[in-house]
Amino acid sequence: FCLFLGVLFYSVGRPLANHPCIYKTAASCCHLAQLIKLLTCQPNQQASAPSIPLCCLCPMSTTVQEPPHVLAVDDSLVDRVVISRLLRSSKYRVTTVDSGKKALEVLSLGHESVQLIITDYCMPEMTGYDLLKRVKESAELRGIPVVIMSSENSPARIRRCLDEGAEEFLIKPVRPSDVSRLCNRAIAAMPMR
Amino acid sequence: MVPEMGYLDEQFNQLEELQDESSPNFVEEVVALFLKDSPRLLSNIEQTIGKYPQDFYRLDSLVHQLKGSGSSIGAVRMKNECSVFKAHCNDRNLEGCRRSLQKMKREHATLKQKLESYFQLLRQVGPREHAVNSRK
Repeated sequence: FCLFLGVLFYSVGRPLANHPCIYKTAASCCHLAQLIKLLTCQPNQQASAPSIPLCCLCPMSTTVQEPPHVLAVDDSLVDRVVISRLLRSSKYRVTTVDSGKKALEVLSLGHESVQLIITDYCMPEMTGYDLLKRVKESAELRGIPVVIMSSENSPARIRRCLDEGAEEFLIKPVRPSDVSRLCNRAIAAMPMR
Repeated sequence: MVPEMGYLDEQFNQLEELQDESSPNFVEEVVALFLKDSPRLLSNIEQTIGKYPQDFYRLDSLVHQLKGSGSSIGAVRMKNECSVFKAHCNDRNLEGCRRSLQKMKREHATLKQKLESYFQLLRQVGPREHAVNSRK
């Protein structure tokens, strides 16, 4: 069986290694079963596999995968419009909500479709930190990377968020370069969780 | 032009860079949202200052919101004045807060006027590409 796996990996993996997205996925994928699943996927199965980055063209499928879906949470309308534009210009699909409570509602309806959560820290009722905790405490949601944004450059706050499992902490105002860099990193890192 | 007078910082330019065929008026739309939303915040701040006993916590929270949306559009002078205001809230300095509010209202009115003139000018000079090139 190991020989079979080795042969499979070698014969299928080699030509695919030249495909930039598959190479990145294979490199970050520590579990062989996940790799096999990726290589032998059908379009329908791909859509329901939450822990595999969906940024690349599945070699076994004839359809292009949809761009990653980001859930952006911010109580400020101006900031929601800006972050939404930033994400869309990096070719991500975006859903914006104005509270942590609404974010959890969206996630309960379809967490498999969300590849990244980006949230403001300072929000009434539920802060970004509270939302982060809820996500990381949930068996279903904890695999989704969470990025925190804040206008306050407080080392204590940053430490707290990173310790709780935030992927990254961005200081507002958020730049286009911040967004494209972190989305690629956060989404590529997903299989490691 | 508006950026050289120190009213707007690099963030404003970053927003302009995000404009493309799919969102040709993005900056004007965001600025319009800010100019629609900020008077409400200023008015809430004014009401909160007038209350007794003073609620510096709420005041700080309102100013924080204004600072946030101001900095998102690159309104650097408003952002800086908000920082001063927050410091006064932290010190529970009511007089300082009152002074800051007056300053902010003036800054806001000036910024609004300049931004509206800026977009009007852009419309007059023609397509967006020409306007951007002429500033470089």
